[in-house]
Amino acid sequence: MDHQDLIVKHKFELLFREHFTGLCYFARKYTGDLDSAKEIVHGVFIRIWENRSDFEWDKPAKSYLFTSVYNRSLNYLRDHKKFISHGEATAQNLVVDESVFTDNVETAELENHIQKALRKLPEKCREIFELSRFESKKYTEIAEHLNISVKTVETQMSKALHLLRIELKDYLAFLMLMMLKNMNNL
Amino acid sequence: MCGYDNNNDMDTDNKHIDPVGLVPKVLSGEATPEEQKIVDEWLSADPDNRVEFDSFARLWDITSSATAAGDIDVEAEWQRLDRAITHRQTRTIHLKRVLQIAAAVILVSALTFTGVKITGPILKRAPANEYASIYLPDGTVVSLNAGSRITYKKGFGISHRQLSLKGEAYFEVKKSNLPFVVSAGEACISVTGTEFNVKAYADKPLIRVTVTKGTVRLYETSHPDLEAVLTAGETGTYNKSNRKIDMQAAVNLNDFAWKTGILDFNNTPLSEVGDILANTYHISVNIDPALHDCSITVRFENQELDSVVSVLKSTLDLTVSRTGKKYTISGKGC
Repeated sequence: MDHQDLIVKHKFELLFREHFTGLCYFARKYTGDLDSAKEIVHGVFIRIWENRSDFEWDKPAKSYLFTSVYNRSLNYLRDHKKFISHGEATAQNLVVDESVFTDNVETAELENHIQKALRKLPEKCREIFELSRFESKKYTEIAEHLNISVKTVETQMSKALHLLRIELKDYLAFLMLMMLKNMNNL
Repeated sequence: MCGYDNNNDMDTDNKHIDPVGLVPKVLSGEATPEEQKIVDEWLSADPDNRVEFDSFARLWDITSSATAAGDIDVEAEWQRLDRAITHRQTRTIHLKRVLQIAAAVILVSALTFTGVKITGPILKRAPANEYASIYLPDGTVVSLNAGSRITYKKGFGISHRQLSLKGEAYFEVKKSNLPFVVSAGEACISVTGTEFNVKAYADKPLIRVTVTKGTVRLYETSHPDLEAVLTAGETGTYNKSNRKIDMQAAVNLNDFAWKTGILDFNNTPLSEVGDILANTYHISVNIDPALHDCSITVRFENQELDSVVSVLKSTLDLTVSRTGKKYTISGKGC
């Protein structure tokens, strides 16, 4: 590889690392499962790599990425003739409703931030929060499972929520705005 | 929006209990009627409290949508993509090779159909004039110098980690219980997890191993008892003609020049400089024997061949002529 190739490869890697997770959550809104979402996003990046000599590396690529993933997701749905219960939309109304696209981009990015925020929690705190939130364990069950008092579970849950709120402050504000907007539309 | 400090406004009847602390319990439906009441009272005490509660409730909701996500291991995904594009690259570059492979596949399919079992080796090679990075299935990264190649059998990283090398490569070996063995013709190198360079050109009398991290074992392929253990900062050479292994407690930076782009000549004889330039810039260098012992001390970092040559030229008062990739160096001598 010569110098120029290395620079392009580096930019490519940065682009991937910045957007991969968000794009996967976005694609999952259409496909309904994360594995096919990942494949779709990989496909988009491979395409970029194949056309790397024509790709405009110094321009913002976000909207290009989301549009590409969106198109591939629609193809995926068409090929798999699948209606999804998980996402907010089905194959048919996706095609006509472009505003869903924008919403999905935004919520996918939000999910990305939530995952990042969760990763920043102290380990114990995160473990307790995930047991409660994701595995629907009761406080008493968590206390027993981790051999700690119910009081500690309560304290850690409260701590987790507060830390998450600090971490996600900007996005919560943004979400409130979105909600207001949606309510006005009703 | 209001902050956590707002709980100072809480209902004074329940000042021993922090209502905000109870919010997660309410949200998860675990609050007792008493606790629910405390929170309700807190909510009605101040509209700001309602806003705060809503923001927690929203947070609660959105964390649930993130749930099923599970973690995405971006690092692992990148490695996967990187492997995919590396394969693609070799595929597009060697179109001729693809056709050969296609023919081989047809042959293999035919043989498989007739019941002959084939497990051919996997070949990775670098193009003739630039080096290539290769990701092995076990996570090891191999930088292959121009024109060099490695082959390994199916199941690499699962049942074995053995490969053979022709030419030169730098290995960054992923730690694993399976020993990583490089067979380089007359000599083999066995390691667990480490970084090292192997120079094993068929037309050179020495096989040279330079270790930058960890420990490696260098031994003769036909007599594994003839061995040397090298640690970081050491260089081992196997001499094909007298079948001896020598060790030096030093690493020559120039051994990695083809990968790092750093040339570090320190009183280096011109004959050696020529070899290093040939290896780094994928050219051939012919030097008038009268000049072999002229030495030079200079350091280059990521310089084009032209500027390196012009520095050498003016320092040692040389004449350099070039035909394509062939450089001929002559001069008055020193």
